[in-house]
Amino acid sequence: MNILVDSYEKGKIQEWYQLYYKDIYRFILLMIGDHEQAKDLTQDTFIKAYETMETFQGVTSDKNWLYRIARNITIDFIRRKKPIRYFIESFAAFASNGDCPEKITTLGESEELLYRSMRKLKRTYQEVIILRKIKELSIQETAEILDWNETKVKNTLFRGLAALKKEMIKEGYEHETVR
Amino acid sequence: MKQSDDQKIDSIFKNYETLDVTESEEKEMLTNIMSGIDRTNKKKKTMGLYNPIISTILATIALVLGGYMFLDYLYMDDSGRGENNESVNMPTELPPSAFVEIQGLEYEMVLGGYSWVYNNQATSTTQGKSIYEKLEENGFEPILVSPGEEISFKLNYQPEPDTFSIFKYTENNTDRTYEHIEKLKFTLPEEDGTYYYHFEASWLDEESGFTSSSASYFFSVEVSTLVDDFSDEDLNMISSELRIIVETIQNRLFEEYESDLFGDIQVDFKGPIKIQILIESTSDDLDGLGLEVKDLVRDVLSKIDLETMPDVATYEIDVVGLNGSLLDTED
Repeated sequence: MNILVDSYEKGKIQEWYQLYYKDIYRFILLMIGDHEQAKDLTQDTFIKAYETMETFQGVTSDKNWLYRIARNITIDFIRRKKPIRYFIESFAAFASNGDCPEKITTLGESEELLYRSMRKLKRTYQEVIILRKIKELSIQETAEILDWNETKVKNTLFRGLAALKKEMIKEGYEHETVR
Repeated sequence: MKQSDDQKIDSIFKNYETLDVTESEEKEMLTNIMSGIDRTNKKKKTMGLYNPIISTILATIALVLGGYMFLDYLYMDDSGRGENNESVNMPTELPPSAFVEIQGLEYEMVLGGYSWVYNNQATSTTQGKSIYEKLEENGFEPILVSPGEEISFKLNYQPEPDTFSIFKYTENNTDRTYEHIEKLKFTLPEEDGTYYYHFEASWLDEESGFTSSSASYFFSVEVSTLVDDFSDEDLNMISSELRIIVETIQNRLFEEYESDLFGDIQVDFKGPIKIQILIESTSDDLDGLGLEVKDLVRDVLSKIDLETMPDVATYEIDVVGLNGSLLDTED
């Protein structure tokens, strides 16, 4: 019996992986900025999903459930890494691109600038911007993943975007001239 | 910013969607996941499931301020006090130890005369000595309390006694009064003075309904308004300084964890001052978080420099899971 359940669950994980690994990887990469670590944490997300599959009651969609696991794993990672990050950041002032991952630098200058600005924001702003603007999830989905109500999602996104623009100007973003 | 800026930012956001892993990395990740699953499979069977809910912990910081005679008294004096043993659930040869609890601190009472049945054999002693002699002999100093304090009795024994009573003696042995108590709780007098108490507990024989065992315990208290002697001004000052401590801790916790938290001060000047902070965490490593919170609080307390605040003589920090279990955060 166990073998059947087992192979069913493993099959489910493989299916979810094919469907969502890109989403999960990008979400984590944007949160922590390190490609190798993002890969590791993506793996952890799916392993944890397997471990806790029995508690997954289908209350949320499977995608949102995976996002929630990814978010918990990432926050925990950030929290544990914090002292080291502080250390690195104090040196990063001398480096030109801070802790902007190579992956993003290669996308282009504006992408790099926006990303660097985003990294300066509060974590909650970063999360809501990534989910709403980059992952283009709905307000309801975002609320479900972050375990907030919809009003909090709207308000935090609004403030987050305002803070982001401010940071971008500080970082040297130039206004587009209006034709 | 202009409308076109928003559009440009949106298009930058879109570009992030091109971030991807290579094909070989994608395969490698899947392989790692599957082997990770096989590894945890064995663990899963024995360890049960991790539930990814948000955990909540409660950090309680008890500050003991120096400079108060009263507090020094409470904490420097440990002659036979504050010991607590685990409850005994089986018959014992001699009467159990019993404690009086005042403001969260337990003091062991002095055993007086008793008649104790164990294995159908009765042991008894006659009191012989007076309550004063007995307490002095055992080096029991009166417990300093403020007026009208509520106290409770605890026995390291099950079942609880069927009947109990309290006798109060004054310092010069001029009167002895009997006080009836319903529960193992009791309110001390409002008037200053030293009082001696005789607590008697009896257990009934299940079959006959007669008393089978009984034991007397002694303790004494010194009721003093000293601890309420602070002026309103003093109290305001101290509580505002404490608020600064709580706020500093809150700010630091917020910076570090952005957690939703809540602080509460309990100031009563009869024991350690308690600051409780509720922390929500998504971490499944509460022990680790507890340690970090302890460090953080310690750091705040070491840096805080308040002119009017008496030195913090000692402080204890407990980190408790919401289920009430003390987390293993020993240093």
